[in-house]
Amino acid sequence: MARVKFLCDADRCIDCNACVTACKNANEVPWGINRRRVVTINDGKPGERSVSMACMHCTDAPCAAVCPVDCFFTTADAVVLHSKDLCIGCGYCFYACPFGAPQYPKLGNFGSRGKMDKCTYCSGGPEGADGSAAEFAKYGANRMAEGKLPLCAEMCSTKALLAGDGEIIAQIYRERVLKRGYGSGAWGWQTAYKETVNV
Amino acid sequence: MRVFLIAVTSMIAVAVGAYYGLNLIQKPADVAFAVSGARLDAPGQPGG
Amino acid sequence: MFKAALIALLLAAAIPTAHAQAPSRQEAPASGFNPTATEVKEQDLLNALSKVEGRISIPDTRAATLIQPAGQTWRDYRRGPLLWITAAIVLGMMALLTLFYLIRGRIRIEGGRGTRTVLRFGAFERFMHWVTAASWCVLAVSGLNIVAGSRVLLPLIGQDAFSTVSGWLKYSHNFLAFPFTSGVVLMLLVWVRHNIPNRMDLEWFRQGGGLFGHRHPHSRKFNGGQKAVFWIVVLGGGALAATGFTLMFPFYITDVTGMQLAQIAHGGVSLLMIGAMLGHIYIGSVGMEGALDAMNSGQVDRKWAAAHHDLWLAEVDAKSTPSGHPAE
Repeated sequence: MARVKFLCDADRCIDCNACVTACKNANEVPWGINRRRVVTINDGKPGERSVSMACMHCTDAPCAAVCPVDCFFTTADAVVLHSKDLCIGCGYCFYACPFGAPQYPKLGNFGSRGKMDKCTYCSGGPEGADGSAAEFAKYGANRMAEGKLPLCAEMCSTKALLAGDGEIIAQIYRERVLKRGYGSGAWGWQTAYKETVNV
Repeated sequence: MRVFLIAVTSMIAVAVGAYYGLNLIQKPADVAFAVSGARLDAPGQPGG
Repeated sequence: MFKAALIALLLAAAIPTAHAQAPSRQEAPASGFNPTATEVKEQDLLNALSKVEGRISIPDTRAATLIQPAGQTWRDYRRGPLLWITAAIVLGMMALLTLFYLIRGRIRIEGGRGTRTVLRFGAFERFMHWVTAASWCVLAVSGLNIVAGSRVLLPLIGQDAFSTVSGWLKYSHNFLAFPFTSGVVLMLLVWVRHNIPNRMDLEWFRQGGGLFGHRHPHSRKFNGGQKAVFWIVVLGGGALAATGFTLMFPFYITDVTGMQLAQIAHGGVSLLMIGAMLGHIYIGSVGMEGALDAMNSGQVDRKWAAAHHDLWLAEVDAKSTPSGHPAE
């Protein structure tokens, strides 16, 4: 199976937040929880860049390593999923996550902040039952089971956000950079995958 | 032994009190991350 | 004029070829405008600030931190050194105490228990001790469960049961923090005047606290070892409360980097405290005959008091009239 990844081409991202909206709608993510977000670096200054970020489904995922109840599972596509049945809402994954992906339904004390929620790469939950209503209510859409990629990347208005086999999207990005002559790199790749896209 | 039982009872009482006390300042994410113009009228949520 | 245009044309034609031969990001792009000249670079930001932050348009401002690789350092600490330190302290201290028990045995009251007792701790003193002690025990167990439970308990009882147990332990850890802190504050207020270190404590430590041999160094209400326990509880407990409440109110006090550091400090201090408290529990129960009475009924054997807290016993006797002792 492929090793799927996300890649945000910051030179194309226009901070339109379509990915955020697509994610919210496809997965019916509750109010106040953002599985995906767009962060603008050096906002308003020359050379500003916007980056769309969600769970990067890291290699050797920090969240999975620190979870006190071992509720994380990695699929054959290398998507990092967690079981909301097992999660105790302790917040450790948030300390460990380099990308601020874990979200909690309640804010205050960590004793009762609720089950963690994060991007599932539109792969539903780890319990199987692909495409069931129960799975949708708990984890959101399972587009991968239908052979589709995450909706955020599919909806990207400038095709800045790429999802799919890491090798293929890296090649697409490489060709873009060669063609246009510049590129600010695959943001987060060095941290998430211990490799970057060399052009 | 009697003092020990009183101590354990008080300990549980304080902990339960803390639970209810902390829940007063606990905010659900939808309330905390909504701007004043947002309408939160999903089921189970106070209308706005 | 014509010459200049020709050169420009040639240059423009040359650029794609240059790319094909030796691709380099330093080449001027076809549009003539180089957007990379002032562009932000991920690595530069990480080198300068160790994290990448920006502006976010959603109300959740903490989401403005884009990348914080320190999370991986924290992960490496948590799955590596923390486990070894925990195992070394908990198992090491237990082994040490077992060894001590085998060598020294139970420290007996010489000549056996007497018939007369003296009040060592009043009801309130025992109350605050047990509030702190009982909540501490649950806090220690639930804390250790967070550190190592998935390697110790999970294989025994399975994922679902372990998750349920851990969920309850997590709740108790959070909410028992309050009685624990209250107990520590009470003990500080009530006992601090008996716990100011002095010269006598040095002598007590120099003689090994009477743990070895049969001589007992002089001591007032609290001996050197007990004063050490007091300050470990007050200072350690204070540090645990400070770091623990920081973690309990995420983002109220500090950001994610601060919380990683708070967790490391919280774990480190609690491990030192667990080591010290195992010693305290041992010597207060199986390790020494008559010691548990002080916190159980509050009435201790006068012979025990005379051996371990001779000066304190003299003070108590001096305060009360000779006939004032309750007949036992």
